Amino acid sequence: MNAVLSSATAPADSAPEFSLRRRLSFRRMPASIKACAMLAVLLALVTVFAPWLTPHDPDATQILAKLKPPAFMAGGESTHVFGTDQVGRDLLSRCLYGVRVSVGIALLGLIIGCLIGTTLGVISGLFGGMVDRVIMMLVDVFISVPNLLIVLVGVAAFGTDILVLVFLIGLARWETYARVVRGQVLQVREMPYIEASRALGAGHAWIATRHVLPNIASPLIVLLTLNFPSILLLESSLSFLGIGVQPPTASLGSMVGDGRDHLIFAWWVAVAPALMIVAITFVVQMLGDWLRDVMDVRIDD
Amino acid sequence: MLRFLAWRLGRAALTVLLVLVACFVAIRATGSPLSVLYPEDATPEQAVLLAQQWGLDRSLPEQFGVYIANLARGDFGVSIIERRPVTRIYAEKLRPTLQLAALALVIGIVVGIPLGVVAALRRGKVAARAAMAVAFTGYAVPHFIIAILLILLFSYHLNWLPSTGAATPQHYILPAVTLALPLIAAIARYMRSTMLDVMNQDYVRTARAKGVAEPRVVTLHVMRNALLPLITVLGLEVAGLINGSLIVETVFSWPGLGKVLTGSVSRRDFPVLQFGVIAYAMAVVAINFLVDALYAVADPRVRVES
Repeated sequence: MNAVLSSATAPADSAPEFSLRRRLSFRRMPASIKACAMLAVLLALVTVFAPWLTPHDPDATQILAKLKPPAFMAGGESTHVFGTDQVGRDLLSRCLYGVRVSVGIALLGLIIGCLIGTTLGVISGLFGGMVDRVIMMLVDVFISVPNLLIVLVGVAAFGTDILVLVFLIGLARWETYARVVRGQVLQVREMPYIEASRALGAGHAWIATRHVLPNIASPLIVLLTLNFPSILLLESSLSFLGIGVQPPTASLGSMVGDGRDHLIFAWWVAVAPALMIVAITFVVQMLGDWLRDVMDVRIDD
Repeated sequence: MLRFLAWRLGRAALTVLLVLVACFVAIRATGSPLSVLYPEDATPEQAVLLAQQWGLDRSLPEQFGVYIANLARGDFGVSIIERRPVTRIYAEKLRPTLQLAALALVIGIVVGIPLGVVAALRRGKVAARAAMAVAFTGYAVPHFIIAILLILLFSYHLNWLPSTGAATPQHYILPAVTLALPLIAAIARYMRSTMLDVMNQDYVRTARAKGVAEPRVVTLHVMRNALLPLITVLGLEVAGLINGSLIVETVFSWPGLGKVLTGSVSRRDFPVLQFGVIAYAMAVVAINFLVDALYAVADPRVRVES
């Protein structure tokens, strides 16, 4: 009797909408993804609440306590869990603030890239023809030019103001959204309901915002998640080279760059922020891969 | 075939042209690049004279014309700081960069392919998981962090390998491995997914059904078909390799192009920066064109579809 009942309810369960929501629910995540999701929430909290979480002022120097090792090592102090840097600043506090700067820049860059790419992708897909060809040509150009070069030229011309940096970093990945969104639009465009809407007199803008965008939400979410680590890495690489975030503001990347000079005697100055970067990219990359599988999105061509 | 190549060649030329325009516009968009040159007590007259010397007093379109004409003649300008032709500066540093990139490419292919094959053939087993863990690390950890961890371990802790310069063959190991790791990751991930795709093809099932030995199926039927598109993947990885080499060379104080290029940004030495960007962009475009051509020769389907 039970078997009959369950088989009778099975079709409702496997309706795509419903099952997607279920697959995305926390209870159904694999253990590793659960851990990643919790870490991601923790990181978000740190980013928002850094000023209230840090044990010390991140910029307060304490020259007598310089280059103290982390608490677990001989000579470490429990007041400085990650140790201190070359001028005695508390590394844990600096890392938490660094997360704030790095994640903040990466998120803004992500949004800018997504806005540019999605807009151009939708236009390209909906209009087709010459517009489409020009935009796709631009995409080709951007794919083949190393994005570090673009940022280098931009920084040389416009300086290292944070807003410039955010914009340049956002520019670095816009082509991925344009390509994926265009492909999705081309698919959605042929759907009967779009035709119906057009027959009812809807214009391009209406169709784009009301019908197309909701339908390309899931590949966009996956793409945003997968692009986040690479954008964060771009920012930290730039800051590491000294052409990204400028002192006194410190991002995780510039902290690693500073620590490079003290590697021999005080490895933790570079390793603490480096591990934070790895932790963030690892967690988000895992979540992105999982989301792509669960949402069943193909985004590589 | 010829039409396909002509189309690709046109696209390559357009890419280079856009890079040239972008460089020109960006570099001249803000302020005069000469501001770094003025002595503290330069009079306005001296500033004007200097601008005339460098041709910066003319209109932008005029400057662009001169700039393109100069490029066409192979005159890429003179470093503002070092006062010698940028081409000579780059020519001196080209070899170490090419050597390092080539070595990384070889390591990437030699290690990446077997990792991907193992990950595909022994799916779910420990070996496959280990292979994919390596690949994932190479994907999520940036070059400069790999570099720092390797230096800490092999140079400072174990004292096995040098960490700066390019004096001896040992000096090549750490930078090349750092540069190769993300490449290994990309190749392994690609090989795994393609092998899994190909293994589900009808002709593989047919080969097995007619009793072809498993090693022969894997090498002749599966790998042969999975390796061909790898050319394209490698072409796409070139941009990443260049991104990486700029950073890796800086970290390891490599006597190559990376330091010249990144240094020119902070010194605002625009002729050097401009030539570096153009040269790198042209290298990427040329390699991608070669990859397309090679692929069209190797795979008849590409020719037909175009």
